[in-house]
Amino acid sequence: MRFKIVILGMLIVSSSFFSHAQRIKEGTIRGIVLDERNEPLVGSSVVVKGTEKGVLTDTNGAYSINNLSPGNYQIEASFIGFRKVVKTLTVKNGDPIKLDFVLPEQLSELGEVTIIGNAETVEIREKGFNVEAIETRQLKAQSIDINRVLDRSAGVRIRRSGGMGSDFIYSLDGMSGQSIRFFVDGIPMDYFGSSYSINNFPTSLVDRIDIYKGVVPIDLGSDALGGAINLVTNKDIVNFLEASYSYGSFNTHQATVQGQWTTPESGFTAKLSTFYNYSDNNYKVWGRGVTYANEETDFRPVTFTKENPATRFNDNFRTVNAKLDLGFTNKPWADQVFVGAVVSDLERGIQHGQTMAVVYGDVKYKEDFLMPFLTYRKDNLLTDGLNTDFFISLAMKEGITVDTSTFRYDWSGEIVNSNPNGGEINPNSRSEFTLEEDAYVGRWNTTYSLRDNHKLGMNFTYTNVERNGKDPFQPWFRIPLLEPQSLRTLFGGLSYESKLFNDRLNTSIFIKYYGYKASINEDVLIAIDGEQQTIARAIENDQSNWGGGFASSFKVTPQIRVKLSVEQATRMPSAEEALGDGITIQNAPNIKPEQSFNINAGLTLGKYYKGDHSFKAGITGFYRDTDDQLLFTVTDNQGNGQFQNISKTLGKGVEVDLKYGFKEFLEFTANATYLDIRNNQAFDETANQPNIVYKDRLRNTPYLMANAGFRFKFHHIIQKDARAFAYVQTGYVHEYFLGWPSLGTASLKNTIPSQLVHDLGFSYSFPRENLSLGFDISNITNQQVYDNFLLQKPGRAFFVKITYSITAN
Amino acid sequence: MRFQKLHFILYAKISFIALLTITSCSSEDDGDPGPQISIPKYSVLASVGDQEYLTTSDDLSSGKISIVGQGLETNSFGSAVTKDGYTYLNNFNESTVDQYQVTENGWEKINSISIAPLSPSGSFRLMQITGDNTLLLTNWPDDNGDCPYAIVSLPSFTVASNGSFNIPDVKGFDPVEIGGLVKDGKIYLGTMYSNVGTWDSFPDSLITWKLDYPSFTNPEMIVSTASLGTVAGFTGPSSLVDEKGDIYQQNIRSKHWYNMGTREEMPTVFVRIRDGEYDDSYVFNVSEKFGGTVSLIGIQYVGNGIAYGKLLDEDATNEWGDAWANNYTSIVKIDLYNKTITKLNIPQGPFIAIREGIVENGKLYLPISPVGQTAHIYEITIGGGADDFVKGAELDGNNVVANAIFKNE
Repeated sequence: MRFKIVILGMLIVSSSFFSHAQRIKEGTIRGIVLDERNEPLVGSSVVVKGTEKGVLTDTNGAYSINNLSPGNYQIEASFIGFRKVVKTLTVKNGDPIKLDFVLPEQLSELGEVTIIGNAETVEIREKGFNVEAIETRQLKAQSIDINRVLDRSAGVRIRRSGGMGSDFIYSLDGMSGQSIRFFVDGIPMDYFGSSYSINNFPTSLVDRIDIYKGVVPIDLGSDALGGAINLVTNKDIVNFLEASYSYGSFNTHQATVQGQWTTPESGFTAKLSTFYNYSDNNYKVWGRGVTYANEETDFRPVTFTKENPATRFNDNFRTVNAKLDLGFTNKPWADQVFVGAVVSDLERGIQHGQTMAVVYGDVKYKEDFLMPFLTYRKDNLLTDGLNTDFFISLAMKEGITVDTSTFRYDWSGEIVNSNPNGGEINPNSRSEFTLEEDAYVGRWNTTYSLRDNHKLGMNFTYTNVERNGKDPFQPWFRIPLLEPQSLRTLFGGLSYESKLFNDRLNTSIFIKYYGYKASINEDVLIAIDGEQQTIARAIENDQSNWGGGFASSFKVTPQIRVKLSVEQATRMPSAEEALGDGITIQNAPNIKPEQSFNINAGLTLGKYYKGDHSFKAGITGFYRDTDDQLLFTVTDNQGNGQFQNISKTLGKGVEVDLKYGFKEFLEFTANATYLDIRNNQAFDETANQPNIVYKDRLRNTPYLMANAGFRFKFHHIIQKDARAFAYVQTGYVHEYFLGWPSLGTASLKNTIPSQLVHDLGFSYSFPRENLSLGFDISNITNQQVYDNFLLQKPGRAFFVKITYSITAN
Repeated sequence: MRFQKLHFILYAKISFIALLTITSCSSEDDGDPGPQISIPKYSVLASVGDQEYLTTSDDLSSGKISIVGQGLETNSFGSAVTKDGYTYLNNFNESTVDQYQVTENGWEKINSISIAPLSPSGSFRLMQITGDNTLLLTNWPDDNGDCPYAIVSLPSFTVASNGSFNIPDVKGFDPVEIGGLVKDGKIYLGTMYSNVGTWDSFPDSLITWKLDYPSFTNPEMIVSTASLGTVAGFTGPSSLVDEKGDIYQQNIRSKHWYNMGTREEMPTVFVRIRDGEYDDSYVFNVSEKFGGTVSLIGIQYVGNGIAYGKLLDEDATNEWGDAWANNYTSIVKIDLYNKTITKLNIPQGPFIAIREGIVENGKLYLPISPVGQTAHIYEITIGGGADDFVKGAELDGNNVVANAIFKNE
């Protein structure tokens, strides 16, 4: 609505000026601002340098500046994430002049970009960090989940155990697991429940994804030792409503609705984003571990084949999630203040154990989640340059693992046996374990700009997590987390940023404080009244660490930039690592934080233009020296275990990123990552012995991967002003060993095989751009793909998606 | 003799295949006997942390045994037996029992049996050779007292029969664990009973069930009041049968197991089953031979009334995990007929984990892996004194531990 009013206003004003111009022969400039893919850049700034004239582009990227006296002008167009472009022209005798802009992307150089919108200039993040930003606007029309988008980036590897809703592990430049933290608009996702995780988050709700590898700025307020991924959602204060629906293979449905309504007069603003995901995940699996056996086969396991595959039958996934924000924007006392809630419901089948060889037919997991929150932001609070924001929330989660079935299944989907004890995960006893978690999260960020080129920053993030458990089928002393156990963490960070030598040298120096306090119960056997009894004894674990480092970048020439970042970082144990999950992960009362010394060094070349061709290249090297690495250690033959500080690792690696463009039509990207991560534990503390796998390449860790892809853009397809987009993407991961590479006969070792997967898709946006259609095929060649040992991922799948949006202002 | 015969057949088979290969490669080589093929005589199950490898050696007395660049990755948690040149391994990765053979090309998987249709829990905890050609797989009782079993013919590795048998409740106690041996058409299953609802009580006696084998019919309970605890065994057997046909059982009673520690007056003992009944005239009180509290965690019979066992110093342990992680267990020689027990001066270790040794030429070969020391195979002179042993082959050193060795013939 506001957009319409502005446009209407602009029209009235421009017509008024136009009539005036007839008299004094003033001129008008009109045009459109596009990115390199010919996408309109909505809301980009076009200003006449040396004057106060300037406008924002409309929904088509168009602008118009009137009332220009004859003369020479410099017109500058700019937009977040893109390089400014300045053009010179001469206005003569009031003739309208057409002046279009194409802004080159500046994805990894966010720091030098400024946002000009709402008459504000806001500096974006620190720039010495090894950060990559992925624009997802183009992908909104596609049925691609965020994991797949990120998996195509250099240095990023996501290992999934199955289809939609399955478990996943992120790896960034060789650091993985919990050392990677996730954020939505800077808020940690750790306590947002399973539904609101990066695994389920629809691409439609995300505008941009920032990937920080290694060193992470303090404003993310986290102990992300290995890196951080921040999902940036639409934060424009405009009225809009957008809905999308996708349907595809394995009876997969994904629907999203998001919208925003604001009244400029009162500033009242309501935001809603919801999504619903469902999949049967009944994809085909075959090969080792996927067997059936019965009397007819003489109890020999008969392996399903590609020609005669098995179908997953207890892997359905469903979640519905809603986030509602109510509050005010653009008030004198707050730029934004919202109260809101995230509510979600999730249910999934659990098809198998640690590998596909152990089949579950009835195990289910259900989760309910509610998180009320309050968020506040105010720039120029009390004095110019003092910006602050805070977020507080209470997250309440109840997760139930239902494992009560008396049946045993194999991959034929048939019941092959019955077990009167009940239980498939734990075949000795049925279980319905409920994990209750309450998490309090508070985050406060403040920055103060001393002068134009100097800024101080401060961040505090506090979390308090309490877990309880109950199980109606288990004796009390066998219920994990029967007594409450808690984990508190406090993060504090201070930073100083500067831009020197005409912004050529950008530096951020920071110190970080990590506080960790856990109260974890340990079962002990003591004599009470002459009888030995098991009781829960609380073990208090109180630890703190300091860390710090710097991140800097230097622009050698406009096309050559070098970057260096160094940090001594700490990662505090997560709730799952410290308190356990009550199912397969036991608690670990004496667990210690993980430490790492990280160095990243990078060189970026480009963009270079030659005729219609453009080139860009980047290379980054990194070094990771990690102590007290937390690793899940299996302690029994059911795959159960606990996290232990048992390892030191030393990692080095390099990633190369190339980009080529031809006109606005074609873009080719390719990247490759090589990791050399070694066991650096000279002495095995558990065995009190020198370690035989010292210097061995880390087991069960991918170390060589590459991606390449083409993107095509077409305009005026079928209809004038319609746009089409297509992509072809290939990903490769080299084979790696499940166990230590140096031990055992190489030809007999368990491996995770090489994978080469191709995806393609295209989309069509109708001329008014309210409606778009997308089509995707993943794993075109139907390869048998594994990220984990004997855990096959989905084969070829087809998806169609429709997106409809209404934007008004 | 049978071992030698089968070994000969195996050798002949391999030689024949090798000969075929050689002749098919070049007819001009006729008359050349070809390279001598040798199958390693022993297997060693060794591990580093949670990774397990089955490697081979020809010599247990000297030299090095290595898993660096050699050996089969396994996930048996030590659950393995050998018979007539084949090795049978529980494969917890794939929920199977696998039959392996060492060939001139190294380890080769011959066949597998799927566990899920045979055992509702998806695993068999007990795997034992019960006759010349039989592998018996059994599991602990479920809530109804039913124990699944499978009798597997060897070396064809085919399921000859399967089903379940019932171990009843006794005086309100539930059967929890079983384990035993087969003798003269009967299976003697030592048990552990407790109250599975609360795990806070247990019978103050030793209970064994005797059933017809292989039909698992005609159950009969026999009881000894010599002590309490389990006579089902743990990581290894706790029953043996001697040359005279008598069965000897030892109980495991740990202060860390439920409420057993509150009955310190109930000792670690050997009892005897003669003619199918507990022979109350024989009780060998092991505890009274030592000053503190001890538990025997498994024995291996070597003949003539002599067994070797793993003796845990319970007073040194604060929790059950100590027994697995620290050097609190000794190797002892037990003379069942003369009721004597001798601690060998072999370094202490976490020997609860030892599954099986080899008896050969008057020696017992045991894998010894003390925490903080290099693991070795020890060659113990059967029937000798506390110092009658020598340190044999050495493992890779560092944190490589070995807990079972097998013959490949």
